[in-house]
Amino acid sequence: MKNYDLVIHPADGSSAISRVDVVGTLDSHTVAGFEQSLHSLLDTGVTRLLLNIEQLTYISSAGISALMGLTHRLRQNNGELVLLKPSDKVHRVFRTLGFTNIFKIVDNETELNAAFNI
Amino acid sequence: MRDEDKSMQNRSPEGDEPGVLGDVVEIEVRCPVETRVLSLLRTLVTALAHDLGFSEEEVERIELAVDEACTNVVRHAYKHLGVSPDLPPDKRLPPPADVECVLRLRTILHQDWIKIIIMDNGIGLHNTPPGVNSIEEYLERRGTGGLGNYIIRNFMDEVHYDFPPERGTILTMIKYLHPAIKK
Repeated sequence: MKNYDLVIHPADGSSAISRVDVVGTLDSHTVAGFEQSLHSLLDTGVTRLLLNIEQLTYISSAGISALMGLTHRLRQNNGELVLLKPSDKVHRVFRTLGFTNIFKIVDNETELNAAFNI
Repeated sequence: MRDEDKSMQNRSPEGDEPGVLGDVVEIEVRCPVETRVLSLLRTLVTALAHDLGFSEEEVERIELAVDEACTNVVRHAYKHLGVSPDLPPDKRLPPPADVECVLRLRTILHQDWIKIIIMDNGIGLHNTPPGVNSIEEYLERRGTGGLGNYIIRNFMDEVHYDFPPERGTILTMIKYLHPAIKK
Protein backbone atom coordinates (compact mmCIF):
# COMPACT_ATOMS: atom_id res chain seq x y z
CA MET A 1 0.00 0.00 0.00
CA LYS A 2 1.54 3.28 -1.15
CA ASN A 3 1.15 5.87 1.57
CA TYR A 4 3.13 8.63 0.03
CA ASP A 5 4.97 9.82 -3.04
CA LEU A 6 7.58 12.39 -3.93
CA VAL A 7 7.79 14.25 -7.21
CA ILE A 8 11.16 15.94 -7.58
CA HIS A 9 11.25 18.72 -10.14
CA PRO A 10 14.60 19.76 -11.64
CA ALA A 11 15.79 23.14 -10.47
CA ASP A 12 15.61 25.77 -13.20
CA GLY A 13 16.12 29.45 -13.59
CA SER A 14 18.64 31.66 -11.96
CA SER A 15 17.01 31.32 -8.58
CA ALA A 16 17.80 27.58 -8.59
CA ILE A 17 14.96 26.59 -6.32
CA SER A 18 14.48 22.85 -6.19
CA ARG A 19 10.84 21.91 -5.89
CA VAL A 20 9.55 18.66 -4.48
CA ASP A 21 5.87 17.75 -4.28
CA VAL A 22 5.05 15.64 -1.22
CA VAL A 23 1.93 13.53 -1.56
CA GLY A 24 0.25 11.47 1.12
CA THR A 25 1.46 11.00 4.68
CA LEU A 26 4.66 11.61 6.58
CA ASP A 27 4.74 9.24 9.52
CA SER A 28 7.11 6.66 10.93
CA HIS A 29 6.34 4.35 8.03
CA THR A 30 7.16 6.78 5.24
CA VAL A 31 9.70 9.12 6.81
CA ALA A 32 12.81 7.01 6.20
CA GLY A 33 12.26 7.06 2.44
CA PHE A 34 11.42 10.74 2.55
CA GLU A 35 14.62 11.61 4.41
CA GLN A 36 16.77 9.44 2.16
CA SER A 37 15.40 11.08 -0.98
CA LEU A 38 15.61 14.64 0.28
CA HIS A 39 19.05 14.38 1.80
CA SER A 40 20.29 12.77 -1.41
CA LEU A 41 18.93 15.80 -3.22
CA LEU A 42 20.76 18.09 -0.81
CA ASP A 43 23.93 16.09 -1.43
CA THR A 44 23.82 17.39 -5.02
CA GLY A 45 24.33 20.92 -3.73
CA VAL A 46 20.76 22.16 -3.46
CA THR A 47 20.49 25.09 -1.05
CA ARG A 48 16.97 26.30 -1.82
CA LEU A 49 14.39 23.62 -1.30
CA LEU A 50 10.70 24.14 -1.83
CA LEU A 51 8.39 21.45 -0.51
CA ASN A 52 4.95 21.65 -1.99
CA ILE A 53 2.87 20.05 0.77
CA GLU A 54 -0.54 20.89 -0.61
CA GLN A 55 -1.27 17.18 -0.98
CA LEU A 56 0.31 16.16 2.32
CA THR A 57 -2.64 14.75 4.22
CA TYR A 58 -0.99 13.87 7.52
CA ILE A 59 2.21 14.56 9.41
CA SER A 60 3.40 13.10 12.69
CA SER A 61 6.33 13.98 14.93
CA ALA A 62 8.51 11.78 12.72
CA GLY A 63 7.68 13.98 9.74
CA ILE A 64 8.24 17.15 11.72
CA SER A 65 11.63 15.86 12.86
CA ALA A 66 12.51 15.16 9.24
CA LEU A 67 11.58 18.70 8.27
CA MET A 68 13.60 20.02 11.18
CA GLY A 69 16.61 18.05 9.98
CA LEU A 70 16.31 19.43 6.48
CA THR A 71 15.83 22.97 7.77
CA HIS A 72 18.86 22.72 10.01
CA ARG A 73 21.07 21.31 7.28
CA LEU A 74 20.01 23.90 4.72
CA ARG A 75 20.38 26.86 7.07
CA GLN A 76 23.84 25.67 8.08
CA ASN A 77 24.78 26.14 4.41
CA ASN A 78 23.08 29.53 4.11
CA GLY A 79 20.14 27.93 2.40
CA GLU A 80 16.47 27.58 3.23
CA LEU A 81 13.55 25.19 3.29
CA VAL A 82 10.17 26.64 2.39
CA LEU A 83 6.89 24.81 2.82
CA LEU A 84 4.24 25.66 0.26
CA LYS A 85 0.50 25.51 0.81
CA PRO A 86 0.04 23.24 3.81
CA SER A 87 -3.46 21.90 4.15
CA ASP A 88 -5.59 23.24 6.99
CA LYS A 89 -4.98 20.04 8.93
CA VAL A 90 -1.20 20.11 8.58
CA HIS A 91 -1.13 23.83 9.27
CA ARG A 92 -3.08 23.26 12.48
CA VAL A 93 -0.49 20.76 13.64
CA PHE A 94 2.31 23.23 12.94
CA ARG A 95 0.45 26.06 14.62
CA THR A 96 -0.59 24.07 17.71
CA LEU A 97 2.95 22.88 18.31
CA GLY A 98 4.53 26.24 17.54
CA PHE A 99 6.28 25.28 14.33
CA THR A 100 4.79 28.15 12.34
CA ASN A 101 7.51 30.18 14.08
CA ILE A 102 10.19 27.70 13.04
CA PHE A 103 9.39 26.70 9.48
CA LYS A 104 9.06 29.11 6.58
CA ILE A 105 5.54 28.58 5.29
CA VAL A 106 3.95 30.30 2.32
CA ASP A 107 0.47 29.96 0.92
CA ASN A 108 1.18 30.99 -2.64
CA GLU A 109 4.09 31.08 -5.03
CA THR A 110 4.23 34.86 -5.21
CA GLU A 111 5.79 34.75 -1.75
CA LEU A 112 8.65 32.45 -2.71
CA ASN A 113 11.29 35.02 -3.55
CA ALA A 114 10.80 36.77 -0.25
CA ALA A 115 10.83 33.46 1.61
CA PHE A 116 14.13 32.51 -0.01
CA ASN A 117 15.53 36.03 0.41
CA ILE A 118 16.02 36.42 -3.33
CA MET B 1 -8.02 -9.55 35.98
CA ARG B 2 -6.09 -7.21 33.76
CA ASP B 3 -5.95 -3.59 34.85
CA GLU B 4 -7.69 -2.43 31.70
CA ASP B 5 -10.51 -4.88 32.33
CA LYS B 6 -10.94 -3.67 35.91
CA SER B 7 -11.52 -0.20 34.53
CA MET B 8 -14.44 -1.52 32.52
CA GLN B 9 -16.31 -2.73 35.59
CA ASN B 10 -17.60 0.75 36.20
CA ARG B 11 -18.62 2.85 33.27
CA SER B 12 -16.85 6.09 34.16
CA PRO B 13 -13.61 6.65 32.28
CA GLU B 14 -11.56 6.50 35.50
CA GLY B 15 -13.16 3.20 36.49
CA ASP B 16 -13.23 3.98 40.20
CA GLU B 17 -16.81 5.07 40.64
CA PRO B 18 -20.08 4.39 38.88
CA GLY B 19 -20.66 6.75 35.99
CA VAL B 20 -23.61 7.53 33.86
CA LEU B 21 -24.61 4.38 32.05
CA GLY B 22 -24.76 5.12 28.38
CA ASP B 23 -24.11 2.94 25.42
CA VAL B 24 -20.55 1.71 25.66
CA VAL B 25 -18.94 0.20 22.63
CA GLU B 26 -15.63 -1.55 22.87
CA ILE B 27 -13.47 -2.35 19.90
CA GLU B 28 -10.09 -4.01 20.12
CA VAL B 29 -7.57 -4.73 17.42
CA ARG B 30 -4.39 -6.75 17.66
CA CYS B 31 -1.64 -6.16 15.15
CA PRO B 32 2.05 -6.75 14.46
CA VAL B 33 4.53 -4.14 15.58
CA GLU B 34 5.20 -2.80 12.12
CA THR B 35 4.98 0.79 10.95
CA ARG B 36 2.66 -0.20 8.12
CA VAL B 37 -0.18 -0.69 10.61
CA LEU B 38 -0.08 2.92 11.79
CA SER B 39 -2.26 4.34 9.02
CA LEU B 40 -4.83 1.60 9.59
CA LEU B 41 -5.00 2.35 13.30
CA ARG B 42 -5.33 6.06 12.58
CA THR B 43 -8.17 5.36 10.18
CA LEU B 44 -9.93 3.32 12.84
CA VAL B 45 -9.72 5.86 15.65
CA THR B 46 -10.60 8.83 13.45
CA ALA B 47 -13.70 7.03 12.19
CA LEU B 48 -14.75 6.23 15.76
CA ALA B 49 -14.02 9.74 17.02
CA HIS B 50 -15.97 11.28 14.16
CA ASP B 51 -18.87 8.99 14.87
CA LEU B 52 -18.88 10.00 18.51
CA GLY B 53 -19.22 13.65 17.53
CA PHE B 54 -15.79 15.13 18.15
CA SER B 55 -14.93 18.24 16.16
CA GLU B 56 -12.52 17.98 13.24
CA GLU B 57 -9.73 19.52 15.28
CA GLU B 58 -10.33 17.18 18.21
CA VAL B 59 -10.37 14.18 15.88
CA GLU B 60 -7.00 15.30 14.50
CA ARG B 61 -5.59 15.55 18.01
CA ILE B 62 -6.81 12.08 18.89
CA GLU B 63 -5.41 10.73 15.64
CA LEU B 64 -2.01 12.23 16.27
CA ALA B 65 -1.85 11.12 19.91
CA VAL B 66 -2.79 7.56 18.99
CA ASP B 67 -0.28 7.51 16.15
CA GLU B 68 2.50 8.71 18.44
CA ALA B 69 1.61 6.17 21.12
CA CYS B 70 1.48 3.29 18.66
CA THR B 71 4.72 4.43 17.08
CA ASN B 72 6.37 4.28 20.50
CA VAL B 73 5.30 0.66 20.84
CA VAL B 74 6.46 -0.27 17.35
CA ARG B 75 9.82 1.42 17.79
CA HIS B 76 10.69 0.75 21.41
CA ALA B 77 8.63 -1.96 23.11
CA TYR B 78 10.45 -4.94 21.63
CA LYS B 79 13.72 -3.36 20.58
CA HIS B 80 15.57 -5.24 23.32
CA LEU B 81 14.46 -8.44 21.56
CA GLY B 82 15.72 -7.26 18.18
CA VAL B 83 12.26 -6.31 16.96
CA SER B 84 12.19 -2.67 15.87
CA PRO B 85 12.27 -0.69 12.63
CA ASP B 86 14.93 1.49 14.28
CA LEU B 87 17.42 -1.36 14.13
CA PRO B 88 19.54 -1.89 11.01
CA PRO B 89 18.41 -4.98 9.09
CA ASP B 90 21.40 -7.01 10.20
CA LYS B 91 20.55 -6.38 13.88
CA ARG B 92 16.91 -7.41 13.65
CA LEU B 93 15.81 -10.76 15.01
CA PRO B 94 12.68 -12.86 14.62
CA PRO B 95 10.28 -12.56 17.59
CA PRO B 96 11.14 -15.02 20.36
CA ALA B 97 8.77 -17.91 20.91
CA ASP B 98 7.89 -16.92 24.48
CA VAL B 99 6.96 -13.30 23.82
CA GLU B 100 4.03 -12.27 21.69
CA CYS B 101 5.36 -9.16 19.94
CA VAL B 102 2.11 -7.41 19.22
CA LEU B 103 0.35 -4.13 19.76
CA ARG B 104 -3.21 -4.17 21.06
CA LEU B 105 -5.39 -1.12 20.70
CA ARG B 106 -8.68 -1.05 22.54
CA THR B 107 -11.14 1.76 22.00
CA ILE B 108 -13.99 2.29 24.42
CA LEU B 109 -16.69 4.65 23.26
CA HIS B 110 -19.04 6.36 25.67
CA GLN B 111 -21.52 9.09 24.85
CA ASP B 112 -19.30 11.58 26.67
CA TRP B 113 -15.76 10.31 26.08
CA ILE B 114 -13.48 8.06 24.16
CA LYS B 115 -10.92 5.93 25.95
CA ILE B 116 -8.04 4.46 23.98
CA ILE B 117 -5.88 1.81 25.59
CA ILE B 118 -2.66 0.74 23.93
CA MET B 119 -1.02 -2.39 25.26
CA ASP B 120 2.13 -4.33 24.57
CA ASN B 121 4.19 -7.16 26.08
CA GLY B 122 7.52 -5.41 25.72
CA ILE B 123 10.19 -3.91 27.89
CA GLY B 124 7.99 -1.30 29.54
CA LEU B 125 8.16 2.12 28.00
CA HIS B 126 9.40 3.67 31.26
CA ASN B 127 12.70 2.07 30.26
CA THR B 128 12.86 4.02 27.01
CA PRO B 129 14.15 7.55 26.39
CA PRO B 130 11.86 10.17 27.96
CA GLY B 131 10.02 12.70 25.88
CA VAL B 132 10.41 16.45 26.02
CA ASN B 133 8.42 18.65 28.36
CA SER B 134 8.13 21.56 25.97
CA ILE B 135 8.66 22.54 22.38
CA GLU B 136 11.55 24.71 23.53
CA GLU B 137 13.24 21.64 24.96
CA TYR B 138 12.62 19.82 21.68
CA LEU B 139 14.25 22.64 19.75
CA GLU B 140 17.20 22.67 22.15
CA ARG B 141 17.65 19.03 21.29
CA ARG B 142 17.77 20.08 17.63
CA GLY B 143 14.56 18.19 16.96
CA THR B 144 16.10 14.79 17.55
CA GLY B 145 13.17 13.20 19.32
CA GLY B 146 10.76 13.22 22.22
CA LEU B 147 8.04 15.21 20.51
CA GLY B 148 5.70 12.22 20.37
CA ASN B 149 5.31 11.95 24.15
CA TYR B 150 4.74 15.69 24.36
CA ILE B 151 1.93 15.35 21.83
CA ILE B 152 0.32 12.47 23.74
CA ARG B 153 0.28 14.41 27.01
CA ASN B 154 -0.98 17.64 25.50
CA PHE B 155 -3.47 16.41 22.92
CA MET B 156 -5.44 14.06 25.16
CA ASP B 157 -7.33 15.07 28.31
CA GLU B 158 -6.03 12.26 30.50
CA VAL B 159 -3.00 10.06 30.03
CA HIS B 160 -1.97 7.24 32.33
CA TYR B 161 0.74 4.62 32.07
CA ASP B 162 0.68 1.27 33.84
CA PHE B 163 3.57 -1.15 33.85
CA PRO B 164 2.40 -4.65 34.82
CA PRO B 165 4.98 -6.59 36.79
CA GLU B 166 5.02 -9.44 34.29
CA ARG B 167 5.97 -7.18 31.38
CA GLY B 168 4.78 -4.54 29.00
CA THR B 169 2.99 -1.22 29.06
CA ILE B 170 -0.64 -0.22 29.28
CA LEU B 171 -1.22 3.33 28.08
CA THR B 172 -4.69 4.73 28.72
CA MET B 173 -5.76 7.96 27.03
CA ILE B 174 -9.10 9.70 27.43
CA LYS B 175 -10.66 12.52 25.47
CA TYR B 176 -13.87 14.16 26.65
CA LEU B 177 -16.48 15.39 24.23
CA HIS B 178 -17.26 18.37 26.41
CA PRO B 179 -14.61 20.04 28.59
CA ALA B 180 -17.14 20.49 31.42
CA ILE B 181 -17.33 16.74 31.87
CA LYS B 182 -13.63 16.48 32.59
CA LYS B 183 -12.92 16.37 36.33
